[in-house]
Amino acid sequence: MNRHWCLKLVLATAAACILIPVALILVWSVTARWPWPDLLPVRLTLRTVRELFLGSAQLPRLLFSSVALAVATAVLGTAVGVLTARATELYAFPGKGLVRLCGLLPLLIPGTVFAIGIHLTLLRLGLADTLAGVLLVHVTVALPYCIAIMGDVTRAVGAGLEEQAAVLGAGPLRAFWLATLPGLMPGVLSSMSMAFILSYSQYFTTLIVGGGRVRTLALVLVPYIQSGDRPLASVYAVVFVGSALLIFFLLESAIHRMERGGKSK
Amino acid sequence: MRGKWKILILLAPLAGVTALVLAACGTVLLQSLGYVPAFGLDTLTLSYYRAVLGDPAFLQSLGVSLRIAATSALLAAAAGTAICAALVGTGRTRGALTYLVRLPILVPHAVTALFAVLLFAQTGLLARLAFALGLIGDFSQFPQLLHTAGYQGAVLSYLWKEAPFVAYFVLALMAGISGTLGEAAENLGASPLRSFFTVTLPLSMPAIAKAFLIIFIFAFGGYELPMLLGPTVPKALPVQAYLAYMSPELRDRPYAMVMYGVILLLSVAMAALYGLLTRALWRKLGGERP
Amino acid sequence: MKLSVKEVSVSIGRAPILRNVSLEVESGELLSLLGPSGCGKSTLLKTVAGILPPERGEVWLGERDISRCPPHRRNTVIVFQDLRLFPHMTVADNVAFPLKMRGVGREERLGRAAELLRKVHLEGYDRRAVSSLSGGQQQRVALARALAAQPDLLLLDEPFSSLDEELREEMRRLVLELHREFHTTTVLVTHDQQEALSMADRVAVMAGGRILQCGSPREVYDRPALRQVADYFGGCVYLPGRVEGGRFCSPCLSGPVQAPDGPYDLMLRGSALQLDRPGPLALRLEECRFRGADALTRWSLEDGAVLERALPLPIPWAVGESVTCQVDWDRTALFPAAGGEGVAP
Repeated sequence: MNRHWCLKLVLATAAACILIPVALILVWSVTARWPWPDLLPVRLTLRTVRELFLGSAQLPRLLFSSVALAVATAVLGTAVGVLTARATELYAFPGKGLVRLCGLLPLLIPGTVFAIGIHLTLLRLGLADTLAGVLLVHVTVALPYCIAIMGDVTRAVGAGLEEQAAVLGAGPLRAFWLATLPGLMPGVLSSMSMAFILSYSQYFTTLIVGGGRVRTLALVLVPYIQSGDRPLASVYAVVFVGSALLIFFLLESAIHRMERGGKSK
Repeated sequence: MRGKWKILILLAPLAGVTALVLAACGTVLLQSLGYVPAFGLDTLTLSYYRAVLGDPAFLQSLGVSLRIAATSALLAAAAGTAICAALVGTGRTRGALTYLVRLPILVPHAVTALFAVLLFAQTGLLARLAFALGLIGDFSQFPQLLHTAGYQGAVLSYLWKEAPFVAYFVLALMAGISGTLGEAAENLGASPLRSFFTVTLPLSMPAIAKAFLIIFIFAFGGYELPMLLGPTVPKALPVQAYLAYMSPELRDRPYAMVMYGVILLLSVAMAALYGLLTRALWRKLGGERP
Repeated sequence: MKLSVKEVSVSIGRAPILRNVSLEVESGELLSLLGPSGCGKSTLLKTVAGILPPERGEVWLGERDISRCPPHRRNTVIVFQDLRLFPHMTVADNVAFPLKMRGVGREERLGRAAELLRKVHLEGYDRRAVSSLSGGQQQRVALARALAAQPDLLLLDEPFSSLDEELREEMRRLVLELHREFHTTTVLVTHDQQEALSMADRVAVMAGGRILQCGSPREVYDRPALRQVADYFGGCVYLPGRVEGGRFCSPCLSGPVQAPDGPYDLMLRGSALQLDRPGPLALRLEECRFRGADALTRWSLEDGAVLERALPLPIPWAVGESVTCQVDWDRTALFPAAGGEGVAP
């Protein structure tokens, strides 16, 4: 009992530390005046919210392009993850260790170095300062996570159902589609969720590779934070975290439904 | 034969991505050796490395970045492990609390910098609380935590974001071990604390060490937090490198690339060291073969 | 040491797993908990070991109420189904683990471990890694580790289920050997009827979170107290009839019994047939299947019910032949006729 009390204290502290800053930006995002040394703002305002929609940032377009880029990253990254995981988990071949290392590579190389180097490489390929180039870089950054998640589910699902479908007369693609993919779906969604978040919050890679032409929410957020306008910075942060949370929970509840559905069958 | 082709097709996208990554690294290293034909530099030389490595400002930046990376990764690993142990110990490995723990993963680093400003600045919430409690009489008496040479703000921000990452990263493994081997240890007479430290924690170490490595490399090469929360001097290495990269004097490009090269090589060295250590440990666990 | 489980109920989540279970295991006894999977036998084991908290009820060990005692101070050691050997320790360190937890010095505990390893026929395996051992060897290490704790109560949770049949038999013999040597009070959980009947001093049959019957192997098999117990062991038929004046009468079979008058069903198994003694029961040999060491025969009764019986070779009857035989009444049970289900006489 004593020990539980101690552990609960750890959890309560962690929960408070996580929640307090988030609550703080919510308050700051509608604050008009909060002079030192008051503990609460003295006047609230909706100026910041108006600024969001009428200001120069063009929030709806920004949201759309950021989400579209992140969704594309999620789909592509997960697709590559599915393929790679199939190779490493279901087949035996020499050099598998090297393949695993390749999958981890983007995690072992700092994003800043990668961004600078890849920008120069993409310049030669004519992909620098384009959406396609940024997408490619985001997929690369997300890939280690996609491969790891898909590797786990692929191992768990195995090739058994697919083999069964094959001996019952399904061709390779249909066997995969009908027998294996449904089992992989929870993993596919987790992988997409992770890739989405990573792409959505990329700053330095988008800054360098996008060359200012590709604008995302994470990119325009930074100057607001640098500006020292706390309410405006907070309102953008709230929009960012809120939209990320929304999509995260949509995917998460889909996973939940799927896992429950899988159990009742 | 068909199997071989299948594997090659499945691995083709990864090969493409790997080629990009290697090309990126190669470009950085090549330019750091003074090979930038576009700017009329086409001889390989170590002179840029010699110049940069002899520069005290660079060494200071390197020290700052190493310190940020080491303290952030260490603190995050320790705090994250504690959170994870608490989740496992109280049986809350699913449900609301785990979602709360995943929240910081959704928050970009720039926003954590904003958190740091709103909380730790001399006019931030903590300073206000200190004033309300009578601990300080004026905001200038509140300790400087942001834009200091100690980079406390950046480290605290990394801690906020990465400790929950560690907890979530380790959770499944630790819960599995605790529920089987940890339970067995208690059954054999180990107290819960002893069972945790002799069985559950050592066997969770691979995941904790991996999380440490990921955070170390990330914080070592991270740009936003030291840029937003650091002082003018000393700058963190990625900030210093970016400044050099953006220099209008194009023929100075190799100096910037040396700094990126150092970040790259040290990160890869860290990863290699980790790989060697885990392999040695694995061999030790494998024990004598019959 | 004597174990007493007193009216224990356990729920996991909202699902009740154990309902008001009481059980006594005498000091030095080997008791087997037998039941289908999901009947709550492993839950009972974990409750006794303190891993699961009971909702109601008490667990006593000797003269001590251990209901509130944390698992690590109970000295009730489980050998888990999945063994749970510590992969980061050598064989000897695994076996010495409980001694280390008690503060026994390194030299002494490693000596003790070597001695126990010899007892489980793993001499010289001390410094080997657990992962380098075969399944059967790992099983022995788990057993040695449990014994190293000198448990007041040894709990075996289906420990042989992952082994193939030959190895399983070898392990059963080893456990009996060690039980004879150490006299540790032991509870063996299993769903293998033969394992329970052949190893235990007493067998407790469980189903649906309750203990249905607890008695010697012969009692629970030959004289089941409930139809549920009889059906669990299987291979039985029920002959409907009446008891009048101490005599059971049915169209196929009559004989002396001890029960008050009324309608009853007589449970009859192939094992109760005394085929070498002509008697009141008429049978016809329907089938005879060679099984190597013996043959499995199927006999039909006059009312069409079928009984099976393994018989040594050669079989003196031809398929289709009719015989009469005696019934060993000590190996039958009477149940009040359907609708009046309850306690057997």
